[in-house]
Amino acid sequence: MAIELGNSRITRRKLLTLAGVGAGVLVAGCAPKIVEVTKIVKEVVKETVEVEVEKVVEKVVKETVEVEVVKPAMRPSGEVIFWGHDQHPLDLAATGFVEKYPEVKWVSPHPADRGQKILAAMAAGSGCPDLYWAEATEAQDWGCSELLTDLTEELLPFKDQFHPLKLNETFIAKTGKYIGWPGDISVSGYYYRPDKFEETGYADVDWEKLTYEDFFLMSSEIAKQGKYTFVFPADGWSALFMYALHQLGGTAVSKDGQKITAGDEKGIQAMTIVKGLWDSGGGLDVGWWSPPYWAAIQEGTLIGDFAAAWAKGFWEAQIKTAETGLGAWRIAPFPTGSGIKYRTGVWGGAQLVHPKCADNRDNAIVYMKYAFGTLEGAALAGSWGIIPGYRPYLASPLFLMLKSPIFGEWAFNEFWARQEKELSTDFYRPAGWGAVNEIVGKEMPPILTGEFSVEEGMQKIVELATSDFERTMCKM
Amino acid sequence: MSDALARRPPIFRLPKPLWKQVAQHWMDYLFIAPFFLSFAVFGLYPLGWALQISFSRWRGFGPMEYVGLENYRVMLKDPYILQSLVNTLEFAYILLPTGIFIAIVFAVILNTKNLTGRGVFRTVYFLPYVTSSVIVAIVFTQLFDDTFGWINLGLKGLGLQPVRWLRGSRWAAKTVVILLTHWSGIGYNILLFLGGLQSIEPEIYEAARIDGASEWQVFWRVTLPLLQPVIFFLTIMATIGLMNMFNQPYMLTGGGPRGATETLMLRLYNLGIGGSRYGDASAFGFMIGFLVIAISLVQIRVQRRWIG
Repeated sequence: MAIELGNSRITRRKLLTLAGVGAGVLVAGCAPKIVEVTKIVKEVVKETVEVEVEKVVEKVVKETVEVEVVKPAMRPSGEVIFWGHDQHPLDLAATGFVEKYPEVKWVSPHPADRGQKILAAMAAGSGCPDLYWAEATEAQDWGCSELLTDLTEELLPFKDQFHPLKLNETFIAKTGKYIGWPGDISVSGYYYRPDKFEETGYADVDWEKLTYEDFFLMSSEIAKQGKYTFVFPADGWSALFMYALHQLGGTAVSKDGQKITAGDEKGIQAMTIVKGLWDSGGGLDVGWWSPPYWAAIQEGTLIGDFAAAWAKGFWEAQIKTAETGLGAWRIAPFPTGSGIKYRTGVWGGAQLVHPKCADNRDNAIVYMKYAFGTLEGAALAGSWGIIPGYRPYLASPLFLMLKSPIFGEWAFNEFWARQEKELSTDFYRPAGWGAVNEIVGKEMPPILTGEFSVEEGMQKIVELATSDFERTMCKM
Repeated sequence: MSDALARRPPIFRLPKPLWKQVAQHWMDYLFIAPFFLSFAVFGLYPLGWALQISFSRWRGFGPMEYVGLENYRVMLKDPYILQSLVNTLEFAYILLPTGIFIAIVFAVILNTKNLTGRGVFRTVYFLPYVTSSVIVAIVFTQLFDDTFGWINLGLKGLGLQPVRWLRGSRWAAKTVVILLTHWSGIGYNILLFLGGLQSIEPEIYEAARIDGASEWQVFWRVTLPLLQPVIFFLTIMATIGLMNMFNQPYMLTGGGPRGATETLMLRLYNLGIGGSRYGDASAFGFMIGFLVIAISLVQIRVQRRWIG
């Protein structure tokens, strides 16, 4: 009964066993990685703190030296790597920066999938850009995980030169640190074409006193003539809710980022305003900034919309002729009404951050201070469409006298300078805000169509958002 | 002597250790190694890592925190996941039978010997399959846009009420996704059925006709049973494809209105890439994987009974 082994071969069972053992080894091989990553993170944090302390001491010494003896030693050199979107305003500011600091090389590849790339780089602990144009919630997310450089000491001397709302967005309640440099102010207004309003019989609208009730009536009448006064996609548009909530002095998430507040009294009132907009029928049902949106703007079907200041850069790219309204556009404050405290809101508005895993910390900070802390840098950055939150710039003629082809000779920045002062200080976008914002947009339609009352709908929104919010919030 | 030999106990040779077997056939292993190496690096390792992430709270940044089965529990309770499962199954139940039916009809027509321009038709039907789904989706968006779409302009021209295809009505949005999926995928099914039809021996048809079968009977009793292997193959492949459906709803509706066209894969994308919830997304990915395996196993069992 000898076992035949002359023709040795691996049976299926053996192969499976082999594969199983191999897989087991691989999976087991993964396990120590967590420990390694955690260790690395701890080490990096420890090292960074140590290095920072050294640098602070070093800087004091160097600054003393600068005053007394050698100035060139302070000049930054090397490179600064920046990731943002294409045709970024910060590339414009960079032209002035490299002129001022010729030893610094400005590198801005703007990878299309930068959002994923930076996550991978931060997870790996290397390969990060020195500067990243981070949306409010992104910066809050990463700041909560202590992945961004603490800019508290750098920013505090400039604190009074920024609006508190923008400062709030760079502040992490959990750590008590400022992790971003206030960038785009993202203040908003109502863009409209007076000539088109006149054509529809509304030549003398008093925008300063216009209430939402007036706006609903006017929009409804204008819609009967086949023209629309704002955009409202039928599958929901959370920006309108966030604008109204801001106007009422409310916030979708509490200051410490631990609670959803979108369903409170102000949230209900904000959604009531949104439902009023919907019911007026004045909203054009197209996707925001989709090709049909721009077509409607160009042909004069869409004669107004609620938008942020930074939208100007995109509008300029679409509006090129007198027929499409070149030089004819104006901006007005958002309508007023019962309970409304502010005539503006925020939408978008990114900030500059320096990930800890990047190499050129000092150069990055010098750039932040230049682009959003000097008149020269802010003027260059602000020439595209964003409004730098640096208040001395907002009060300067460099800003106030700026012209745009879509507004003609109208000094539109005088309007934005006024609006900036209208921003609420109680509107927060901490980690987890994105989850709430998404559900607000998604679950808005049944409220609009009357399937739920506003109160029921808001309660449902809070219920549905809670799980996602709790998974993405910054736990204290 | 022979008795002594006969009395000797049987010899049991111990199996050679694995490494010896590998050493003996090292050349063979060397030749198959590239595949297994790349599979291990690009298949097994990511799978193992995803499994590890599925038991951790990790958002793509910061340290991982082991949470056991929490991600799986949360995913099972997520109302949007249940909705995405229902949506996907709805798409599958509608697209699968209609896709096969339409493809068989077209394949039978295209298989007609006397059909003029048969080659042109075959190319035309297959063309959407090789066209970029992104471009197709953009065209469909222009066609079905609620306000400025050509379909609605046509409806208005005929004095009919426009339909809120993409953003207003749940079933209208589903219909557009179904139309797009059929339009782009039916050519592949037709091609497979054509192959199946051409592999049927003409003698079988001849025998059936000699026996007095009508054309309808020939189709039902001869053609369709002989196409069963193709139908089965397509059913399995289409089921897996539909469970992974992503491009069409992503490009057309983004999953809306109100999640009506959010499929399992789109939800997975929204969780992982959109929400940076890699722990949750990994757990959900494994749940989808198990679901697809379970459905495929059921299909294989049914097929064994059906086809034999």
